[in-house]
Amino acid sequence: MVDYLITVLTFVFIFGLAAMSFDLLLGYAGIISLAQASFVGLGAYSSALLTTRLGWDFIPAMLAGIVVATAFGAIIAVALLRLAGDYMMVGSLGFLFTIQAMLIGWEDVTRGTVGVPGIPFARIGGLVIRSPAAYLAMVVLICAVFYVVARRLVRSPYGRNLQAMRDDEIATVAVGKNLLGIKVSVFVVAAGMAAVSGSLYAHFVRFVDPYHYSLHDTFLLFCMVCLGGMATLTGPYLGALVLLGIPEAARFLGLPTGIMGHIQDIIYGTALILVAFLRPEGLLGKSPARTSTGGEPDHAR
Amino acid sequence: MRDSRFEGWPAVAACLVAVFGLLYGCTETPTGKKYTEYKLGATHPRSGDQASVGDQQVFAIEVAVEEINAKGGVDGVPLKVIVEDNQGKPTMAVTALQKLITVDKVPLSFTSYSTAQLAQVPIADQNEVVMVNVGASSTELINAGKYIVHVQPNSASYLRISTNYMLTDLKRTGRWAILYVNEAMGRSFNLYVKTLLPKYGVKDIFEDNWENSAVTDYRSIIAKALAFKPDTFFIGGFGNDMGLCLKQLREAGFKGPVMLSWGGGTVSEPAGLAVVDTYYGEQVIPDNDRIKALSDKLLNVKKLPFVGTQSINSYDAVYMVAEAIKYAKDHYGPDYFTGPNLRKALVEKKDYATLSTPGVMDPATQYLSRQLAVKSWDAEGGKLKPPKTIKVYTPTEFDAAPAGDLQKKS
Amino acid sequence: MDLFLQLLADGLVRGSNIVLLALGFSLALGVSGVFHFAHGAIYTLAAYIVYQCYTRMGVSLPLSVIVAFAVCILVGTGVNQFLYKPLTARGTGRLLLVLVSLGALMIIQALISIIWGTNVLHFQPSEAVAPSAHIVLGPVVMTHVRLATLLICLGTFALFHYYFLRRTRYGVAMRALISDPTMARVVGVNQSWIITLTYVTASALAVPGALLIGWEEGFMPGSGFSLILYSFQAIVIGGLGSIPGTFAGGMLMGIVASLAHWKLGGQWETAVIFLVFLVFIIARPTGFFGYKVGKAEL
Repeated sequence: MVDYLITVLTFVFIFGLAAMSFDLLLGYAGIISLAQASFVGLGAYSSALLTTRLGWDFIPAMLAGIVVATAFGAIIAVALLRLAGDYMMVGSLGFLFTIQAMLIGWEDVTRGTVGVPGIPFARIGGLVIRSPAAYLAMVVLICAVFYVVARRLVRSPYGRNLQAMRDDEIATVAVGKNLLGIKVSVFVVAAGMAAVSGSLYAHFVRFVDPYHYSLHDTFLLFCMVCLGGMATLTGPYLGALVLLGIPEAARFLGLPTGIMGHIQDIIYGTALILVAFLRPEGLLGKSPARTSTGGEPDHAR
Repeated sequence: MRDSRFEGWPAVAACLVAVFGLLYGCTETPTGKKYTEYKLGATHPRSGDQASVGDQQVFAIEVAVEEINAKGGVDGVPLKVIVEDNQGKPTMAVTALQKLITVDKVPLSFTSYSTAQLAQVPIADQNEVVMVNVGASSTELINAGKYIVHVQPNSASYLRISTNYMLTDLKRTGRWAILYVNEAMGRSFNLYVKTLLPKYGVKDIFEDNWENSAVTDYRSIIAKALAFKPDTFFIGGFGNDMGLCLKQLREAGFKGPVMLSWGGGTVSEPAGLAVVDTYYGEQVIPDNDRIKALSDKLLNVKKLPFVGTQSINSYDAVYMVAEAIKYAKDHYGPDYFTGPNLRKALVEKKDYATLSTPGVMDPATQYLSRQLAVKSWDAEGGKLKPPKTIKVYTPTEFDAAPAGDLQKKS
Repeated sequence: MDLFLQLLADGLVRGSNIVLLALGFSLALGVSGVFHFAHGAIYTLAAYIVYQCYTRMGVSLPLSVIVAFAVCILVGTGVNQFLYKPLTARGTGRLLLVLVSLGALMIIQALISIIWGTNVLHFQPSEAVAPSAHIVLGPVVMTHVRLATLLICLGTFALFHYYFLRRTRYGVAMRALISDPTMARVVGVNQSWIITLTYVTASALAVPGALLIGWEEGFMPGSGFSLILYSFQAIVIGGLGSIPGTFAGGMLMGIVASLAHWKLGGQWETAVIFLVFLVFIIARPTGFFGYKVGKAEL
């Protein structure tokens, strides 16, 4: 039973890290991007391919993943961040699909639909991390490191610029801040963190395939952020705990196995709707997640 | 500016968890030696588009377990099979297997679905847990790992006999077009048939694929294939996709014979009359009382729409494992119920004559032998009749797993 | 050349399927400003309702279709009434609304899976299924149902755009809300009521497409989801808020999807479509006929 809990907790932290990176964009910077799952995928695949095909160690492979993700992040940020809200969102969705299509189609490199099996246990120098408990320890440490980094970032002048930009773009420009520079930089940072999450996933499950980095998965991350609290750094982890924990708890209810997957989807959808109605700022959130004034519906212009 | 409440608590909590984790990881948990039940695992698709295949397998396993336990189990100890849903996805299959290994501590698990098994094999080998394949047939599974044992014949065997039939009996030596699903199993069909056809003198081969089993519109691929002007088609997929592709192929005007990677209800249901003049290799289901009794239970009690080889093999797999457990108990001392011992027992016992479809275990490839035949369909009065056997092959003529023909794929 | 023509014809039919779904989506988006992704689930639901009534319960086909219309309209307006309306009134952000819609889509899809299972289903009983009758136009071969799909799509679009939106009171009101909601309210358009009618219309528009493709290829719980993503891209390429744009975008996507096979293998189809979409977004975000998008001030 303890082993089982360790497994669940490991997933909670891995997804929590990805969700936290998403929150940097959504909650703090107010950037509406749907592409976050792609960066997780790029990190996961980098780790998977470099360790299985070239025999790299855990840390170098993860760093390579960060490099790949930040590179892609920079490209799409520059391409899309000039567009206003709706179109940015739509463009990021296009990017999400394109990356997934690349992971599927570029078979020579990624092995396509079959995925990458047999990813080795995380190896750091001579040390191989086999036991699930030790792996959880490492995951938690890495999450703690990034949490501290993110917290410093958010409380620094840079962080204040982010939130100012979220709340009032025009005023921010008016006081002379380089808006594009801020947007691109936060996008890139979020991409890098998401890639780390992907690498941690790859060495935990020890198998990756291209079907887990699509809209469904961005949606899951978004639910975690929303539920836990936008513009908080611990909220996403709480969201991950709730959204991953409930289906696992439901496992013990003895429902027929056939409908477990569907029940999960119903839980996610309902949780999101409840959050939207009852507590848009999320469980731990302080500021409301509203970006438009009440009253008449806005237009798709 | 600064909040007065202590915000470092997440970091503290994290450190506590980390310390706990390290401490726990260093301690060993003892295992008991007296068995009140034999726990086995099973990972099958219970949701998603493969769910109907999962039903075929899991219900048959349940019937076998009920029967064995009704007779007192294995030397008085009942079997317990814990089924986990792999949702038809390899990542779910891997986590399901990991859960079965770490939480339920099973030494053996029944599994299905090629892509999932290929992902699970490294886990099984590392943890020394036996995988018993009751439903996957990708050629890549041959010699994929030490800890995988097969009750389901490999598609290489089906393809050998059906290709042989098409080329020797039907003399289709002209141009061939191959359409397949772009997953482990489909790709392996394509690669294997491409190595077979030249041996019979076929030189012009066209190939194209569709992305996954959820595709429903094959017309573009078909149009392109027809532009190649093939005489014969080979379609390799999961079932429903093959049926739809076949139907659309006939609608596009193709009238020649078509070879399929397999047949049965999943293909004929969407394809209907389009399956006339198609041929596939399949395991022979003997006509004995045990199979009749099993079919009866599956159709009337478990309410399956039809009984196929997946069910027969799943049923036999449970009996085979039960016999192996008994063999291990009789030969390997008190600690017999472990992965390595069960694997050894399965191979050493070799002869499984008491199964509903008797077979012999091949120690080199760990495949259980099955009898195979080429089958096809007839229609009468505008209605399709059940598939009929055209030509039977003895196991020695075409091995269960022709390992010699194949190169290992990376 | 023959292959090209056949692929083109197939592309037009694919485009028709996309357009039939996209019309409702585009209308909802234009009038109410919501990305109504749940529309995909309503589309799928139509097929299942007809299946349940006609194939399982032996109800006559016309009556089954009427029931499908009724159920879809009910669900569509329900989603608007209980989800979109209250949330927009509270000023819920754009992104959250999109995700709520996706949530509704997932819930409906999961319920369909639980009730009817996840297998691909067909309207006809399997033993009597025959390859459909087809016609031959020069080098192009097409089944009757697919030709019907193309014609029905053209007809529906023409009727909708040239008649309903221009000549009927409600249609004109909808167009007013699409171009300028404030002015529309000033001249007396009851926004809330017209939005409700919009969802009625959109949900009704989903039914023919679902039945046509269900008849030809079968349906499963995820059918609507994959198509709604293509529809979404079609709408963006065509221009948000423009119905003719949706038609053009949908046809274009269908043709691109089919022609991708001309030179590339089957596994590249999705990649090509998304690449085309991405290029469009970056090069011309407003699409063919859309309104000018506000560029973020830098």
